[in-house]
Amino acid sequence: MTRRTQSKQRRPKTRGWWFTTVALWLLMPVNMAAADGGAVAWTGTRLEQPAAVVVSPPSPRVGAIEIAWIGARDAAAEVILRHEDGTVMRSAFESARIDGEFKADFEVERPGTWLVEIDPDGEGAAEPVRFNVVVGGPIPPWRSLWMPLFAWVPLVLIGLAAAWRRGV
Amino acid sequence: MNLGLATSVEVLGAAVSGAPWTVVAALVSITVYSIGRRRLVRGGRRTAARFPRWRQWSFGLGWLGLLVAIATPLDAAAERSLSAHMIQHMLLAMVVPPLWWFGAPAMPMLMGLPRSWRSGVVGPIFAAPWFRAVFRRAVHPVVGWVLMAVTTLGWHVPAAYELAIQNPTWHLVEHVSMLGAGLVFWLPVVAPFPYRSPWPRIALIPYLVSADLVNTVVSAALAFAEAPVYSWYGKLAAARGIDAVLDQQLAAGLMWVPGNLVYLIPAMVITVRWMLGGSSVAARPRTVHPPQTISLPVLSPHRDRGDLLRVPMLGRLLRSPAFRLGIRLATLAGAVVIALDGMLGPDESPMNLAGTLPWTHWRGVTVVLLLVLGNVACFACPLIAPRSVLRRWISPRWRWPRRFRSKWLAVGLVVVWLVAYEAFDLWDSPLATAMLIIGLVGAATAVDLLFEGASFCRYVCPVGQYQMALSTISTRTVAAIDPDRCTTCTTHDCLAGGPRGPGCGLDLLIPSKSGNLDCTFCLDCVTACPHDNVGLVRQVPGLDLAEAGWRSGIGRLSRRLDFGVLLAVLTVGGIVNAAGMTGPVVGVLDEISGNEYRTLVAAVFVVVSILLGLGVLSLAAIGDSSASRPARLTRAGLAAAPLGAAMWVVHFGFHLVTGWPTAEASMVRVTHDLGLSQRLPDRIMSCCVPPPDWMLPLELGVLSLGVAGSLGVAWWGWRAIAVENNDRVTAASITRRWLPSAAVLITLWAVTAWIVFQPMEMRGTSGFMP
Repeated sequence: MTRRTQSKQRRPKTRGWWFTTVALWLLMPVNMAAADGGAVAWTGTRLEQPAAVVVSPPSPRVGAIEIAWIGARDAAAEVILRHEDGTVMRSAFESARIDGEFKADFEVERPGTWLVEIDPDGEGAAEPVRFNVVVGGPIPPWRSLWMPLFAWVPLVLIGLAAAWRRGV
Repeated sequence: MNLGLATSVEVLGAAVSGAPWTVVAALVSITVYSIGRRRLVRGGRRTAARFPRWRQWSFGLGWLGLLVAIATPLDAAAERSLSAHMIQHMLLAMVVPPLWWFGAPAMPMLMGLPRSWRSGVVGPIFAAPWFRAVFRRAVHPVVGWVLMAVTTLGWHVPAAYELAIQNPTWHLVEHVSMLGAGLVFWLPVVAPFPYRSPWPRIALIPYLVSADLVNTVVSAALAFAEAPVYSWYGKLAAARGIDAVLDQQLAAGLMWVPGNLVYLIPAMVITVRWMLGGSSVAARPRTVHPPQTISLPVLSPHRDRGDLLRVPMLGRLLRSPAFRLGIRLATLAGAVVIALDGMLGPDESPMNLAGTLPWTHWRGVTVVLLLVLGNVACFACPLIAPRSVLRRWISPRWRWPRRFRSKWLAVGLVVVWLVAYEAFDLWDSPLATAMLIIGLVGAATAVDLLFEGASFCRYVCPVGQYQMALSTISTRTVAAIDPDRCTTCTTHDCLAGGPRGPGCGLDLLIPSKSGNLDCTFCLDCVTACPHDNVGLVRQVPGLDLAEAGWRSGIGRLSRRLDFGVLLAVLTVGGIVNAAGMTGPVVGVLDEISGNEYRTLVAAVFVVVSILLGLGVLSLAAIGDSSASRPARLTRAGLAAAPLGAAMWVVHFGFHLVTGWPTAEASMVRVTHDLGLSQRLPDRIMSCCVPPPDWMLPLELGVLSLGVAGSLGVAWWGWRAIAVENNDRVTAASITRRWLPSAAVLITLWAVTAWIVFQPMEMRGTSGFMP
């Protein structure tokens, strides 16, 4: 048997290993950290410094909403959410995951238009920042949990493909 | 330095909290790689030379680079600064992929997998011609180049970039596409073993240089723009106190200079090698290393099945009969304390040991251990401790009546147990719990002092049936370490007993024992075996149910309808038991009963639901009428077991997590009542912990594994039936028969998934007011 023939016979085996590797990498359950993202809801000047407000998620729905304040603020600063039906929610700022920024988290239970009012210095002289946020209805939980919910589908397909390939 | 230490800890903490699943994937991946590399290195010097340690470091550094990119403060900074975002993208597309490929992960990752996965699942699929053909095209250098160019150009278009920075889902897509493009692009450049590029090495010079040109176009566009290209950064720059244009130019510089080097250095290396080595570089893949084979040491017949009894200290303890008896006596002492508190303590379950420890903690902990280590619950069972002691003086006279030597009595008792649990709220009555414990200990002692062997465990105990059923999908089993040695054994001490100790009370002969059904993990066989040939070894979970062949003590499992019905009742019962604590079901039951006939209504609900569930499950047997009905029904029951086990794990796991603090509350109360402590019990302490965020995804993941296991067992069951009937066995014909049972099992899974989405009663805690 010549070396060339040997090489031809062995190639499929080595390719098999290689393809296996690539597929393993593609199947690896890598979960990227989702960036907070959001939408820039307001920019301007408060307390004589530039400031901005980022609301995330960019299309808020019933559930968790984060309002981030980028700029100067007083310790007494607070965020007030007013729903059109009269519901009011308040929260103070806390440090955000980005250095030098502050955030207020809300668990919004009602869809509709909310008036957001941010007072960067509490009862001080600075004019509060006001803007509207439209909150949509809730996402069914199964939609946000589709990955663990239907994890069995690829497992079964892989099993079936393996059985098929083995010829049972 | 403190500052350095603090920073490292901070970064590590950010990585774990920012992307926990990525951290888990990294740990699993590096572990599998390390195991595989170690196995390969044992294969000889030539194999070891292919996988030097630096490759392992490179592989690990690749994961570290990924974590730095997406799970550290760099990820947060990327939201406010284009230059930070650029570093993140360069790590994903230019640093992590080559580092991974330098690790040559193909062989180590494969060899790190369990043998059954390699030969049973991964191997057949990836050896398939269609699969290889698809992948050969997917990883072609042309595809890699195009992917890299499209991701580099496409994601820097302002509309696409803005979409990704604002929307987390699109941001994820952006990162995955960059990492994926990087993997395919750098593959022919690094050419990790055993990959062979379809192109000669010299062709990679224009490949790299032209890709660098694309990179240059984007970086130049950013560098020479006079205004912020991306409005997101433009809006936030002033508030952050940075110059958006300057930040953009810095990002462009990073992309241009270090980015170019990443492309040009390998191009230069290839060029120099080509110039020094002449034409051999171009022909290297075919001529320099013709034999592309390595030794595979793990293919040797002597398998290491990870015997726990060989683990230092732990193995010695487990092999000791005195230690095993001591464990059972200790749990018996605990049961006595619980029963006393149940009778004498307050009739308030969250503050009583009888209301918390057995229902919340013992059940929750053992259900997890059952899957991980085997039938730990029966191993440490307090019920058999008295008989273990009393049999030193009292020898049983009779054998268990022949007509009751089946699981039918146990099936009835399991149903009674499930009905009583729901109808009489056993978990909410410390006195009833105490009576139950005393009754079970008394019954076990009486039965086992009258009848030989472990008759109570085998034929009567409803709790034991549940535990033995769950342990069928455990990762460990009691088995012969070297089956060849058993073929020369004539005494069969593991079954009959001998000078070293008693044999198996459940009539299991170790060489022909299969799986964990009817095994209480008492480990008497370990002591009895004169050849020290019994171990607590790894097994493929559920394989025993799928094969369902002949085994000692049971016979052919596929012909034991009583076993099939028992597993079916435990599966359906698990679903009904969990459904009974969901808000909608409780609401309906309350509405029907009007709070007057609640016991009756609850009992009827359990019985009717179990019958309905068994009826639905029986539809799984309609796939092929040529086999006998009992055989098909038995197979349906066996197939349902993994899903049932998953439901029990989810149910008891929920109570364990949400009711964990009640143990402390009830113990503080007991010590206070006994005058051992002045600390007053805090009622708030006995309340529930809100289900954490990870709970629901984990529950759904467990249910997914359960239904996947059930579907697999069902498929294999139909295959076994076809083989027994001498039918023509093809994948298509078996799949056709399997489809109705798959539909039934998926229906049951849908019910389990519905259950975990419902609001749950915090039973056993003061947060629940019945």
